[in-house]
Amino acid sequence: MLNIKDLYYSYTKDESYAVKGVSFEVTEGEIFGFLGPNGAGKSTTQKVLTGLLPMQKGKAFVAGVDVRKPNEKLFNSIGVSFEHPNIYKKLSGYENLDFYRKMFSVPTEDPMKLLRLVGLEEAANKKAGGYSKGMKQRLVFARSLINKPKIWFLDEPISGLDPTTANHIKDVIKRKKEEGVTMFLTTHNMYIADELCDRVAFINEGKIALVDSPRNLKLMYGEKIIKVEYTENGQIKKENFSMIKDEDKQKLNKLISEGKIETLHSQEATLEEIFMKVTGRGLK
Amino acid sequence: MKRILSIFKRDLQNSFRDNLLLYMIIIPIILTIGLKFFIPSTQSASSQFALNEALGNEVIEEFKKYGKVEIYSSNEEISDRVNDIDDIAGITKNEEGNFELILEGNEDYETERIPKMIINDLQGVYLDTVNFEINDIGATTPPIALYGALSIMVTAIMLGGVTTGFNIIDEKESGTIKALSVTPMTKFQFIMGKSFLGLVLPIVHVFIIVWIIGIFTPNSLLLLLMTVVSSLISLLIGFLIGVISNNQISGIANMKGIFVLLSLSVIGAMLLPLDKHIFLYWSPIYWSFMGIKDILLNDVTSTKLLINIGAILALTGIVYLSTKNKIKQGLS
Ligand SMILES: Nc1ncnc2c1ncn2[C@@H]1O[C@H](COP(=O)(O)OP(=O)(O)OP(=O)(O)O)[C@@H](O)[C@H]1O
Ligand SMILES: [Mg+2]
Repeated sequence: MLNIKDLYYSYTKDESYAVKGVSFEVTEGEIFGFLGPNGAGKSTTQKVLTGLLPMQKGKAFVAGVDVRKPNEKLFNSIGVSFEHPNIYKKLSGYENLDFYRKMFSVPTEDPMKLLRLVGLEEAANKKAGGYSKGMKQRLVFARSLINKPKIWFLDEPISGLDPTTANHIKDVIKRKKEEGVTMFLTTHNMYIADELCDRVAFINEGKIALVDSPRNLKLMYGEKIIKVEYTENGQIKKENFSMIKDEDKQKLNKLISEGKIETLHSQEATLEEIFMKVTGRGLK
Repeated sequence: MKRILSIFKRDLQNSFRDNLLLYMIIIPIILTIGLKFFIPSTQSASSQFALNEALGNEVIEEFKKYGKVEIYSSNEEISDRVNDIDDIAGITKNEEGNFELILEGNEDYETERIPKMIINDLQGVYLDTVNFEINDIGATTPPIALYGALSIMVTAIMLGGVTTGFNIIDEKESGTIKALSVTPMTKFQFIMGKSFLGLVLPIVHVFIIVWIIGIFTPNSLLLLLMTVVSSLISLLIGFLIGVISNNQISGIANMKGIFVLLSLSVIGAMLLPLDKHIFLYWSPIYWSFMGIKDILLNDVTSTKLLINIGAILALTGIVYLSTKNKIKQGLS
């Protein structure tokens, strides 16, 4: 669904690239996460792929369409949820969606249904300019679904939402995945990437450091820690064992065979820790 | 077409909900209603002149163009006539051969002013302000109605483009233009959709003005044509304002230029003698003003019409060619 090869983009049209030689593929029905700190080039990549910024160097195919020559088919098949809410302030939430749907030449969703989906049905007839930040963001999110996109571009869809709303939006994303929608999800939040994405790309300073599934990354780079509580001489003791050091493994084996263990938790490395290991910098 | 109409509908909704835009939409109508109070009723506006036959045929013919003329052979007879109950201005010549106005003293302003202007005209100190024509029934169009209506009309036409400009600013300011860029909507459809309101508003305004004033009987088709042609330059300027301004405030600042252009053209066309009009030929608004004036006075000839429309189109074309790239860039 997405096929990107050696993509470069420079805002200044010179050698200072915001995106430098990014290549990746996203298959149908996959959620592909673009994870990186502020200014890494995530939004820039998304803007080039959605035709908002011109193609300068490299190749990019979205839904089989060359992004260099964007056409009606391309725009009918993509949905774009923007990082910064961009809505008509003088129009109500409903009017915003109803206007937007008229721009497509494919069957569209019922605006009211989408507003209900993101919990805005009560505010449907209020002017969007009076919405809170989170409401505006949900409106943009709902709008990006109006043309029943096959490829859905989500730029920071959860950031700035309260936990309940965030969970709700995550549920919508999961449901769309079940419906077979392909997603390109941009975020600097590792939990989101971990929870939602089939594969993530670590992007830093305009380059992809690596691409893999969150699970593989953790297996490969994460140092697994086992937290154990056990009884010794009638007292409860806590200890952490690394699964890499041999002496830790032997000690844990001994505790298990002696049957002294009270509780046992494995703790995985987070994507953030792995990101730091791979790129040498944090996600913030 | 569906997309173009949707954009038009959205702009219309937006314009009626935005205070500044709403103001620009209703101001021409309020001005027209205000103007209506200053227009003397058609009856008293129809001028009558009592002329001394000694003034000569040329002068008498000139006065006949502007109203009803009665000829008398002596100044006494003229004085008697002027003293009658209705408003009539007496005109004669004194011993030195200068024009002399005989008035009762209680006449309204127009009764006194119009003959003065005609006399000025005859003596070569021509002010274009009396250059109105007489319509079929012989009643004259009060200049204040004509020039007032014309000024409001060209202002309304310019405001049409400005409305388009401010709707573009709204799209830019809110970033919604980006949301539109990721739909199948083309740039052409966007431009057409945005132009729609800027074309429709002036038409609505111009016809409402004619209707409120109530004394013009223009050819509607010609008036429509002239309004649409005149709106092209206004739209172009509107688009320019739209692309160079990032918010309403800078939009308002950039709008000032238009009003300088507008006032120069309108005031010039009203006050400059015809032979000085050449200094206004550069302004498309001047040509709109003159074109609509002919139509309101039912004084259209195909030559005049062609010249007016041709001049507007040519000047619009020049502005288009020199701003095309800037507008294109600004919209991407
Ligand atoms: N309009 C612009 N003009 C010039 N430079 C820009 C522009 N937008 C972004 N940049 C630069 O390009 C680089 C990448 O920015 P981008 O917005 O793609 O980052 P991001 O990964 O989306 O970050 P964030 O997490 O803050 O959204 C940054 O160095 C940024 O300063
Ligand atoms: Mg970003």
